[in-house]
Amino acid sequence: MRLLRGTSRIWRVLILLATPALTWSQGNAAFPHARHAKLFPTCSGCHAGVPTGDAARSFPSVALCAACHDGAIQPRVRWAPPSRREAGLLVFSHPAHLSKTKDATCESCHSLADPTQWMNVGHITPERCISCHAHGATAHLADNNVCATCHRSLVAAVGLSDARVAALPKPASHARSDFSSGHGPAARSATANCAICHARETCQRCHVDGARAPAIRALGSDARVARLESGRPAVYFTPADHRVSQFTLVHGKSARADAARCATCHARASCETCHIGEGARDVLRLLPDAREATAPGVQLRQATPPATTTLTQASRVSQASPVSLHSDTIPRKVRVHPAGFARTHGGMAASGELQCASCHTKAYCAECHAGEKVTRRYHPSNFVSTHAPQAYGRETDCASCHSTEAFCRACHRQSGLAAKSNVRSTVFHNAQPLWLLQHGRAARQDLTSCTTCHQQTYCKQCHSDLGARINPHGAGFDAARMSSKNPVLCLSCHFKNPLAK
Amino acid sequence: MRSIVAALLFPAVLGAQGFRISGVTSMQLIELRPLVMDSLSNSLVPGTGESRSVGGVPAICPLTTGFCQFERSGNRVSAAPVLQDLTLAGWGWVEGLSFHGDVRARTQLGGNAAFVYPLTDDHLEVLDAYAQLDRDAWQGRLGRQWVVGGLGAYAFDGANAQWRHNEYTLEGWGGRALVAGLNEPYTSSQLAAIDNTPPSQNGYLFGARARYRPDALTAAAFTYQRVLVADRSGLYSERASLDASTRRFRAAIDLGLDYDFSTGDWNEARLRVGTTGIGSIAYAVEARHSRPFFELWTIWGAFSPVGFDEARATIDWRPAASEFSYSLRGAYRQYAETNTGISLRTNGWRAGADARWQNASAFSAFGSYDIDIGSGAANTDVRTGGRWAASPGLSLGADLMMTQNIYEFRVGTGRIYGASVDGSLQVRPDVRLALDAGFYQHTLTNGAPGPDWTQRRASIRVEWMMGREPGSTGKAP
Repeated sequence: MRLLRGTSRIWRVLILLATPALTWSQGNAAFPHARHAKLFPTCSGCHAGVPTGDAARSFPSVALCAACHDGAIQPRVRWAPPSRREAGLLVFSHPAHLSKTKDATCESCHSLADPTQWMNVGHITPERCISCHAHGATAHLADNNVCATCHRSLVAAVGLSDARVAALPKPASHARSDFSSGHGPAARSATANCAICHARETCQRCHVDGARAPAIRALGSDARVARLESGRPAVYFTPADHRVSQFTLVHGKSARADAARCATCHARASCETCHIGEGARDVLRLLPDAREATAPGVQLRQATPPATTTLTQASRVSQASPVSLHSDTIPRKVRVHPAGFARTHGGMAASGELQCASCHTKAYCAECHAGEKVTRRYHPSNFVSTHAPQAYGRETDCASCHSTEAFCRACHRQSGLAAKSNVRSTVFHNAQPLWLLQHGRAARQDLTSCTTCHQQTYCKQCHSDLGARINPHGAGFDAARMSSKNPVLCLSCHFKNPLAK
Repeated sequence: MRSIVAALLFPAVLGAQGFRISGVTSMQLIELRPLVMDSLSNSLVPGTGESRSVGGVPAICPLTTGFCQFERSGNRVSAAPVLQDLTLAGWGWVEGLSFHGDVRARTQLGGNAAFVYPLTDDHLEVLDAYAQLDRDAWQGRLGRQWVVGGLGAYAFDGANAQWRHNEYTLEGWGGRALVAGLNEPYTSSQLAAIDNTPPSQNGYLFGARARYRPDALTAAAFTYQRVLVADRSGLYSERASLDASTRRFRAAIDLGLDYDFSTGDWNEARLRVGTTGIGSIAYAVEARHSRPFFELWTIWGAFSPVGFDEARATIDWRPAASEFSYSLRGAYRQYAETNTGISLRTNGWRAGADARWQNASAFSAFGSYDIDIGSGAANTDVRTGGRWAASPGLSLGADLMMTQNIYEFRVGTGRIYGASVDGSLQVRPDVRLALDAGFYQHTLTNGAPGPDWTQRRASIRVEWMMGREPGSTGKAP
């Protein structure tokens, strides 16, 4: 306030008005060209070194400013020529351009909209570059630009702050709805373009194979991008070919043909949601494993198993990073096997149409096929009370999992149903008095069921040379054929080989 | 720590680069009132003659004795079978070399000695234990193993070799045969304990298979297998199968043929044609011929069993964007002529329907009705239930069921009403606990004899795993 006391009102006003300008000029190295209009009639007066690339003479000295800004004629300023700047995105050489461009002047590029105004200068606009550099581009951020003509990669542009990097303009193509699904080929063919604004970390936010994909590795790593990408969710879309109805069935072929494509979104653990067996190892080993994966990847999830199924999923995949679904992604449940598959899978498995080993270990099959087990729950609850019609009708092949002798007969014996001796039972078969006469047809139709209670000796009481010698062989019985396979079998009932002459 | 535990349990994994051991420990509670023989003095049984009834239950009263014999449900017995399954895999000694084993231990806790759950007296069973060497073009296995194909599942102690070349795969195997479904040699005590005329010789199994898989949608396999009696006096079986599948022509077509050389009969012939994919409507029709197969250590094959021809159809409807799905199924079978001159039911049919509701988040419910009328047995079955999957690791469910046994050759008719609950909890990523419990009320009707099935049932199960999958680090990405 003491300073203001000795000055006239006009000077006080001027000083007050000048203070913000001084403050601005001291805090900002940009030179106020417009305020110095007509004071410096030529650019070369201050920037004589620019055309030749002489950095020392590219800006005026502090002494030159002080000639006027000495505190008496003009207020002192603390302007100084800019120090050697860290590399920005732009790659430009004044001497090179001047040597190649006839009749070029500073105004050719640096004059703003109205070239008649003095000192109306500014930064060159991209459009002006494009107007000379004929590479077919119509606009600065057009898809067909060759960015490296004027720009260096973001990784090399170490002079840019985080804020500048975050504020880099976004090409219109990036806003298209199909950009996520379609940017791959363009990125691979024009990696240099991507590198102007992106670093490896940009891609590694979503790309699982970010550490090995050549196009991504070529971008280089950048700490600023890493900071900016940190915490942003990975975004995954559903490719068109994944939406076809049989994709689950046929995806193996395309995976083998181009595993690198799978590796974009799927880490090994993703596939191991289903492929826990041996069959798909040749493809899975081409995918990044947990140590190598640079993004969370698409996380498949097995349907919540019924309470009675056995744990088969072994991969321990956790959600380490946030993932958001792309707008076109439709979460859906994939039915790997059709309805009723448990009953019908035999043929498909046997033919090899299904590569069971891709998803199932032998142990999985063994849980049902290798004998009785209580945990797999192939049968519904209390199946034991409803299994008789299914056994008679051979709805499923009981013998695939159960030994008739060791399981069926043992249980029937325990429950009192099996024939307890070689004597005729009293009331079995609903006490039908003529059952003995009826049993022939029943036996021929349902012999397997008979054997779950009766042993061979029971039948031999009548059907053997030792018994009543009642012939059990039906029409068309080929004794010679059976004897040729096992001649000893005939002697189970016959005293001597009936075919011997 | 896990490695130490695993190494102590299974020294074979000591030198392995990786190993995986998974186990299932389960215990069941089963109750039963078995059918037992009883008698009463003739004078206490109303009626005359040999055939009478005791409280509606048929009784036979031989004129030569003073007693009527009948069968009734005996005292309630229970069993608590405990099973411990261990699955072991180790790999990494040499490229492509791995070791696999499945061991099952059984015992029975408490309960009544009169009721031994099947096979629980076979305390330790090695389902398989083999070394495998895998190369790009071929694979070899040595040890106890089994092959699964169109002929079913056969276990054996021996070797298996497989050679792959483009769309072709050739496989051959051989070794000491194990009884299918029992995994014991033919001369095992387990078989002798349950059959008074067990085979006296072991068997040797030999088989070969050729597979042709031109693309992911088409495949065919031909299998030939014989089980030779150890003393070379004959065969226990000689069979072949042809299985083919295709998903071409916008259809799912499956063909399966099993042939028994010892009888010259087709045991199974099945042609199934259905829709492919996961569209809203899926249907399939199937023609099938089935005739039972018996190995030649039994006399049953010489009794000329006949088969049946069956037609069946299924249709599943899953409306798009609907939480409901529906299924209908039906089948009709006709038995071949038995030439016995006896009039007995010669056909059978079954039909069923179910509806399922699957909420987008956590709830699901189902209801089903099935009827099965056939030679030998018939019943109807109604079930309904719901399930709540509170999270990927926690689910709870409840089921209700009603079964009516309409007719059966050997046990009577009756109704069973049942209710059960179940639940599972993923305690850790590699440990899961599951349990269920049910109660069943059995009402015998029409005075038929039968074991009273009124009982409580329960089971508890712990499923766990140590180690990791080949190729997976087990770490989060």
